[in-house]
Amino acid sequence: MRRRLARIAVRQLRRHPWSLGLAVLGIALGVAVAVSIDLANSSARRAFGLATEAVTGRATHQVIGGPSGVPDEVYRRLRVDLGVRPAAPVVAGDVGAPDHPGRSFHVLGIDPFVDAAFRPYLGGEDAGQTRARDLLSRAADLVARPGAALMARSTARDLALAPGDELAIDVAGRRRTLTIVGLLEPADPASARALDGLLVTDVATAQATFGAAGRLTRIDLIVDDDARLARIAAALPAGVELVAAGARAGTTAAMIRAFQWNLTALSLLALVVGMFLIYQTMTFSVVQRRPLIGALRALGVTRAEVFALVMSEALVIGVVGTLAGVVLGVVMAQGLLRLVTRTINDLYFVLSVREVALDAVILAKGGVLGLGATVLAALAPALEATSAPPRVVMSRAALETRARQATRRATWLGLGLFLAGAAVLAAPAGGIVGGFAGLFLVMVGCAAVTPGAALVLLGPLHAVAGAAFGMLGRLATRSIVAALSRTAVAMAALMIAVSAAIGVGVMIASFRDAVTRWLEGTLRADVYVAAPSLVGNRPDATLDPGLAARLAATPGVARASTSRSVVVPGPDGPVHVVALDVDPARPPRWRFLEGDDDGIWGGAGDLVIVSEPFAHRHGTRAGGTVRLRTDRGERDFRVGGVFYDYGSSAGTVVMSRRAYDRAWDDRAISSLALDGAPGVDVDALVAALRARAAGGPDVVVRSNRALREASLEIFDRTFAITGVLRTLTMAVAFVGMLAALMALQLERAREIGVLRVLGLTPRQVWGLVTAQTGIMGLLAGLLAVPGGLLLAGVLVLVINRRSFGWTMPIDPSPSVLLQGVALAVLAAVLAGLYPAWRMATAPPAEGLRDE
Amino acid sequence: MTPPAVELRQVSKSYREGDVERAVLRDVSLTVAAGEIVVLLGRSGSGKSSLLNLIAGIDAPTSGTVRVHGTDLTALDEQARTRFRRRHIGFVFQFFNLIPLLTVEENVLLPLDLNDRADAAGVARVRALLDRVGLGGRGDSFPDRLSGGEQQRVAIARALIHEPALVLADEPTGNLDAETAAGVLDLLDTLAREAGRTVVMVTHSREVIGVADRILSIQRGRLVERPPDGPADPAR
Amino acid sequence: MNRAGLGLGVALLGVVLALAIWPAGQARAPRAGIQATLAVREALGGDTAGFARARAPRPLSFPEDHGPHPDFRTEWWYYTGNLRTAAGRHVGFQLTFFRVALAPPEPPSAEPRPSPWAARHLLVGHLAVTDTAGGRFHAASRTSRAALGLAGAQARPFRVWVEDWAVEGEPPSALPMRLRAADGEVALDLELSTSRPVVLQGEGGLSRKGPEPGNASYYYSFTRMPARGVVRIGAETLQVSGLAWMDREWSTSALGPDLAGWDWFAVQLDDGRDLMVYRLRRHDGAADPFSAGTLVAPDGTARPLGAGDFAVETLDTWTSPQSGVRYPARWRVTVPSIDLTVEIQPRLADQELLVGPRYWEGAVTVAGAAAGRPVAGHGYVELVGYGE
Repeated sequence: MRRRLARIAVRQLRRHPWSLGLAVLGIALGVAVAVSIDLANSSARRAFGLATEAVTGRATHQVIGGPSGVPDEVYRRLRVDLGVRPAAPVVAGDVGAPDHPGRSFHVLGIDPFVDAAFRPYLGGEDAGQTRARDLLSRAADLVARPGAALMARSTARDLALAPGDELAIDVAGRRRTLTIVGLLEPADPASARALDGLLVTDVATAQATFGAAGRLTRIDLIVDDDARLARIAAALPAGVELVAAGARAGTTAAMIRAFQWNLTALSLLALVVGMFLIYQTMTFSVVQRRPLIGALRALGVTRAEVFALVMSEALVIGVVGTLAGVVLGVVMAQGLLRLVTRTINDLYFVLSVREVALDAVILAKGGVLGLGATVLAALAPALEATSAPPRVVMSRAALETRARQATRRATWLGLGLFLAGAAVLAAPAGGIVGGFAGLFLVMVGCAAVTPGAALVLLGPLHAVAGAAFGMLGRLATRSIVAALSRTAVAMAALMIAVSAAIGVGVMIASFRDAVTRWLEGTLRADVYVAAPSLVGNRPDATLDPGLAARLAATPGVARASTSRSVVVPGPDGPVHVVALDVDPARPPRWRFLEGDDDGIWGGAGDLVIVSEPFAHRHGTRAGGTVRLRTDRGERDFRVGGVFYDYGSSAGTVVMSRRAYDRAWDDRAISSLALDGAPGVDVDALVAALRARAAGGPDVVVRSNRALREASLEIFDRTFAITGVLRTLTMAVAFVGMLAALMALQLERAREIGVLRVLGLTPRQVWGLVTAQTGIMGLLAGLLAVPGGLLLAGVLVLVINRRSFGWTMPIDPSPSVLLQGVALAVLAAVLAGLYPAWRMATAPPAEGLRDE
Repeated sequence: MTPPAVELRQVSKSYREGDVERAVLRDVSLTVAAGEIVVLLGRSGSGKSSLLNLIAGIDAPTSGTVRVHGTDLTALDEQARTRFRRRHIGFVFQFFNLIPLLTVEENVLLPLDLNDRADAAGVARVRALLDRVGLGGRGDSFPDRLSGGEQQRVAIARALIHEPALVLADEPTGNLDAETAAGVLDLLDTLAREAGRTVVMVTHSREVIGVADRILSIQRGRLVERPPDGPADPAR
Repeated sequence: MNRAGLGLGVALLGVVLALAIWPAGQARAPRAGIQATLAVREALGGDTAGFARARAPRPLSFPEDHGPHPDFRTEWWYYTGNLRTAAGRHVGFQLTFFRVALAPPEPPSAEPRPSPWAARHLLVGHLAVTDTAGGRFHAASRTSRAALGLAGAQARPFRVWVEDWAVEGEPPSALPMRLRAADGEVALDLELSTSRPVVLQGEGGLSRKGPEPGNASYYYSFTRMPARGVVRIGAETLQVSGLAWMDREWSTSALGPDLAGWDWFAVQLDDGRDLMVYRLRRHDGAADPFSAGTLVAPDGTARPLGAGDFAVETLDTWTSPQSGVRYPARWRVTVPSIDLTVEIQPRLADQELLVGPRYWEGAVTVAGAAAGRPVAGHGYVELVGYGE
């Protein structure tokens, strides 16, 4: 670009520090949200991958068993009788660390003498520097010393532990002690992260720790020969099967991905709103400088040069904003990572990530995203600028006429986008990505119809304002219409943000409502007793049978029923099976999507019911069958019904305990449901049960109410991050509103000056501007109601179903809608406060100064 | 005894421009009697618009006092000054400065509205006045449909509708061709004299002189009084 | 002692295994490089506290003493032999089982561990087959804890095994013994009987390794075991027969710090005599005074040889292309008291084992003269502690 033109760009930016700063802030926030979510997601995903690799290692296949695992003998047979190697036994599980609240460990019990082929990254000290004998003695220690464990040096440093120190662990309520006999110090940071949160022990120690003598969690194999695989599979006893490694992790990973997709989509929303901001800033700068641009064109500046001028201004904003956004994103990622990890921990997998992995690719992606958004958003204004004919100063009125024409075009475009979005959403093969693509089309459609819809709404508003506030009221509404080319963008951005708030709000409210009702139907007993589990959702803890019997016999207990929750292998991956010992005369009151639970609880026949997510995931219907690998081999269970369930997005198969006992040898129970005798106070009963359980292994005794509250607490925690994202998107929209009003203020200085000369007091000016911003907010809010409901519908009916497999009735509570509208008005008014103050207090002489 | 319509005593006004203090008006004293039409001549940048702004209470002097009909504007706060202006002062601008979002009628009605007099009688008066300025049928038009002369006539109506004691006009013909300018001036002169309004007008053009009772010129921030038959443009 | 050394060096195996689990990343030193760090003396050092020591000769009884001696730190069952097909194709084999204690014996009061995986011993097997005609040397190893039936050693019935490799003895005497092992390209299934009584090495089975008391092992051998059975090399299954040699040794003590390694020679002569000599090497290459040997007459009577009773002269060397280590490769052994001079030559130059601690153990041919009459034979040679 020519130097003078470049100077124009520089001075333009400098002369309007406010709009420059706000545009930078807007794009920075948008990029920051996208980058931070991406970073948090990828860090969590990476940790998940590493954690899975840390336990899966290089195994190609795994031998897994039913609820109680794989008998030791299977391993002996594989290795000694069949000569299968490499093969490695694994006993794994999660434990708490009572002395280090908030930390949990994955205990990985291995055989150090055969494990090298699988988990070489347990990579320890530098072999060249460590005396061979020390290594020998450490390996010997690990195997021969009861309770010996290794941990990563970094973890040990965090916990201030040294070799020789003891570490108290909590295993399903029982306290045990491990001794740290050595530290693992892998050479590369990726391995180091994988080892974080891992306690490596000998198989014997792990079996003792989990009270699982004689049982392995699994056997890892490296086999690349199909014939050999077939031989191995044939040699396995019933209830034990050979699966490809990663099949288990794959299922979990898919669910975590679905969750993360939701976050990514929300984060991109913030960027879209940020894009509006850039568009708005550039449109302002172009509209405002039309005469100047016309003059430049008259002086012989080409269209291309004008285009370059505008684009270069936008790029300056884009580059600065994007850079700031990337930096901000890295900072924010730390906080978001905590939320992401917490949700993943609550729902899917014990994950220990405490550090954001700074991935250059993600940062670059954020950069491209920010600059791309800038270019895209500035394209229209830049093209608009090139169309300014030389020397012609277009009147404002003519401009606004054009804006009205554009409004009509935008409305048609919006309607087209709606249709396209609906078509994409309707395509069943779209999956989650398709769902979000449709959602975005619909949202952009909403934005496009905003100006037109605002014009329609302004009619009655104008009359109301005129009636209520006279000429000043009419002035307020008219000035919105008059400056439609500016106000519409700000309103659309605000509308999108508020729609998102309403849509997500309605979705969460509906979801919460459904969960609450589901809990009411599911939690029927007075008191529940379970072994403590690290993950609410994971059925890994069992209750001591003696203790269960003792508790059931507590005075005041009228009835007791048990439940067993296990994960068993199925043809398409692991299946969560719940066996309930239910009195057929008092069946649980679940709500059924189709079919029912008739005849299930009696335990006759292989009859089960499945949860909605299960049915969705596996395409199961009432009357169909579910194939499960039982201790007697594969067996088909008939599906009596599909029930609503929000407990697990993986899906659950429920059967009677009797049916379960026929198919599996597992006699353990996971939890106990107790009904108090009539007149027995529940809290007193809880206290009595706790007293009775004292001294034994820890158990969690919770009243129905407490359990319900705890469940809802997890629910709320899960959506905490959604709330954060909503707030951030609102922040971007707020910045957009502020920027729009600041620019309008600049433009209206003369008008305001005249009004002041005519006798408008500063307070009246302030009131006028605030009324105007309030009306803009109100319009955005009103338009966000249908937008938000549309969004909620898509989220509930498409996204949630595709991501998690569950549906729920949409419950648009008026309070959420009202809150949305109020939020919009509040945001607009707040954004208008400062510009209004500036306009009110500006000396009128300034505004009137000759052009 | 009625106080003079305008009384300036040793008014100075300066603006800061970066580190430099630029004096626009120096020690200006001026008295305008009620019903008098005074023209202030001066070149661009001579300070005449600033003087007008001080009289209107739009701006406050750096030192000195400004009295309009006995009210010391410099002693009032912004709110009170605005209320005073709303009630007692009419303003005609060089660039017409009609509110583009209001119709012609609404523009004229606005001062009445601000004085809570936009009742039926007010509307009737607005229509009558628009008839007087020759725009009887254009009340519902928006300003951008009007020519410059028409707009300025609306502006004059707006400046007079609430019967202000003092009308200030800043280069009212500055943006008009000679013929139109003459018509507009004539209108202002007629309407002001009819109602006995005091008028202070600043300009740099000589057409205005004909309507003046008294002509003052302003040079480098200082006021120089000259007879009506003196040189038209002292700066020339 | 020789084997003794290696036997103690079984500890090395543990070290290698330990390194195998902690190789510190994947792009670390190549395998040979890691092994290069395994100084024999490192492995032979270590804590002997809590273990039994070999201090005085004791009567040995069989088959009990074929079984394990868990109070001692290390122990091994060592089988080597030279076999032939009916067509005269030569095959050498080595099958060794090492037992290494991971911890001293538990006090009887110790609480039993609940897991069947709980183990105090590690068993390691080494298998090597020398395919002389094919010019190939195959070696493999097996490692497992002594638990869960994965590996172990027992006297009645006699059985030592690591996973699918095993030696089993026919009750009640444990003779004949059946050796079975297979890995990849090679497999063997041999039956070993004996035509001679057991030979107690050293002082009635107590083999001293250094001046300090307790620095010794219990050591006995079957020096001439007719063997027959099947060896598979690649796709070929060979019916073979020949002579094998079994060494048994257990101890706790360590090799002295001044020793670098040893050369061990086990020779079966066609005049019916068997000769075993080992030369303990000091760091300067000189023979240690505790070097020793045994001469077994055709009737089975054994005569111990002191360090001054024999001489070993190296005639040639061979440098391993894999490890880069230079080993002696041809020897002249003289026993002046019986006027025996033989030249010993490896069947294959490359019989280096790289499956655990690095050493050379291979089939050899023997030719020379005894008391003026030509004598020939075959045997096995073990070279430990080179290249460190």
